Amino acid sequence: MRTHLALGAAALTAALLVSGGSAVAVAAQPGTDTDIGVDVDITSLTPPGALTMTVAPGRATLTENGSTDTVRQFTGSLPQVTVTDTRTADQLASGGAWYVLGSSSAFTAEGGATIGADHIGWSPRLVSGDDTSVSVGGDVGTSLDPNTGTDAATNRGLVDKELLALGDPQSVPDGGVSSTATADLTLKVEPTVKAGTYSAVITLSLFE
Amino acid sequence: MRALLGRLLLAAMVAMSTVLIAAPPAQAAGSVSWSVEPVTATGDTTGHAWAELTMDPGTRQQQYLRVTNRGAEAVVFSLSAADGYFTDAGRFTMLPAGRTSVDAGTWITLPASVSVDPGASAVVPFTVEVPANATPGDHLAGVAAGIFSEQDTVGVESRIGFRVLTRVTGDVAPAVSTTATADYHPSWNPFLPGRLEVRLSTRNAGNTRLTAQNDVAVAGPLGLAPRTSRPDALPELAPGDERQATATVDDVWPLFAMTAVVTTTAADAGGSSDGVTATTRVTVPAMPWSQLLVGGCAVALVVLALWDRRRRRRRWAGMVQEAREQGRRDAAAGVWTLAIAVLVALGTLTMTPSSARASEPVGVTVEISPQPEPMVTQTGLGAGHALAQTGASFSPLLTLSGLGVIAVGVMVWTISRRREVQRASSPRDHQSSRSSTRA
Repeated sequence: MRTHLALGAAALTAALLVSGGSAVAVAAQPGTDTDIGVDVDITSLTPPGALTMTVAPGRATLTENGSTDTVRQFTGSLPQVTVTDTRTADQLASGGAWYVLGSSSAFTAEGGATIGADHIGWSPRLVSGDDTSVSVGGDVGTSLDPNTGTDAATNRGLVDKELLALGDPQSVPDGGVSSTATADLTLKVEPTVKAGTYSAVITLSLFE
Repeated sequence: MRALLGRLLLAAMVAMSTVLIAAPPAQAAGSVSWSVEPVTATGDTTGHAWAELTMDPGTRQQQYLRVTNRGAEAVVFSLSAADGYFTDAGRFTMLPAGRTSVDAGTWITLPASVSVDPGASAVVPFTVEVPANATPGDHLAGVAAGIFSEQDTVGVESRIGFRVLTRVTGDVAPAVSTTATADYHPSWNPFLPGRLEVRLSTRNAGNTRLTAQNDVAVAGPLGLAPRTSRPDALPELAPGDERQATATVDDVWPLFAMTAVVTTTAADAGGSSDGVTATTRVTVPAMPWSQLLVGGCAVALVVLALWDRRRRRRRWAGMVQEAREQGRRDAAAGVWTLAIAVLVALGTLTMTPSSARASEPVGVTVEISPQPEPMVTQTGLGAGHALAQTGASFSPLLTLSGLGVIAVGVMVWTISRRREVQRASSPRDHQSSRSSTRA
């Protein structure tokens, strides 16, 4: 019993120290009146660059907006996605041309009713960053949009569509490139669609 | 009592330590920033953007990925592996979480999630195990680390991944096949060539990943007027993929039937096997309508011109004939005129004395008184002594000479007219005879 008690007390103390250590351990040293100048020579590091993706917090909510008698329309916005490429030339030699693809699943409701992924489209746009080496994907329509243009028949529905892409790895300037993009989402359904709470998942994939 | 207290303390401590050690799940309080790459067992970069493995069926290999948290908060990343494929645009991606993998995605085993502190990175091992009954060739899969943002109507799963390309040893045979259809678009200007549009569909018929390039050569019958076109190289094809492309060949003259020969040169994207070639041909009718139309009009013009010339010659000959006839008629008329003139002259002359007789006799009363016998005077044609006499005396010499003069005049006139007609009817003969006499 005593052993248990001792063991428990010791462990508790240790745990407390670990958790509170960062706060407690920073004890203010008694300061001197004179300031001590400190010179530090910081040489610039050349760490290996990396391909990084940053996703801003936020929800992708679709609210009804712009419905007509024949088409019910819901709009929303994708959270902002930033891709930063700071890799050096030799790192880029073996790969390099990255891209972000977006793909939506079907919208399903609790009762089993579904709305296909061809009913959702998007319109990507560049929020900030360099648009010479990085390109933003084209607009994607829905299956309820009028059929215009040569690609219109095949460009329907959010399935494996580009949001952001690096064109030429050799065109990345020194210091890397960082681009932020978002997309305006549009869901169009027939007025006969069954009411309910539908949910879907849009998958954004960064690959090379 | 002490035992209970001790146990309670122990339990509390364990609970707290769990809370302390395990990082909280990623709340969307701030941005999440991370990167993922393949690494070696020691955590160094492999130097490649993805993992390419060559394995025998029934074997397994250990691979590693590194997740680096570049944000300000600790994050739990969810790890996934799935079948990989190329999109229509040639981009590699892997199946989303909602879809079930059936091929190489099922060969990869890795933990479900990993927690990474801010600024730190975690090296995660994963296993690739090839089943014993796996078909030889390339199998595509991918691994990724990602986060799932708060779900409302639409959840957003963001992930970063890389390819895991496994080549299973065995009968690795690249193969490619292409089908083509073509349309000819003529130019309506007969002096400009048209263009041939060839629609290609290239399929990876082997079991390796391929890079492919199409070449189109167009020629008319007997290989006349050859033209070539090289469309853009196709993006990488996985086994079984099919890609469409359109090649436009310009400056193609319509030569009734154009043949397009499409040669597809494909190379193993994995680099180890030899390349393959496939050929297909398609024949397109190309009628030169505008050229035929222009040619036909030109021929018609020539024919019409010749026909018109012949018609004019005939008309000219007819006119000449008519002129000759006219001349003969005039000559005949001239003869009649001569005869009539002669008759008229005779008639005039013979009628004159009779006209004197025909006049009314003039009654003359003569009183004859005796006179001494004067000198005998000569009666008849005495110069100056002839008295004017009514009625004309019939002088045969005068009449004959007058008649002769008239006859000669008429004859001369007739002959001259006849000569004119002759000259008109055969001018060339006359001219040629003239020229021949001149020559």
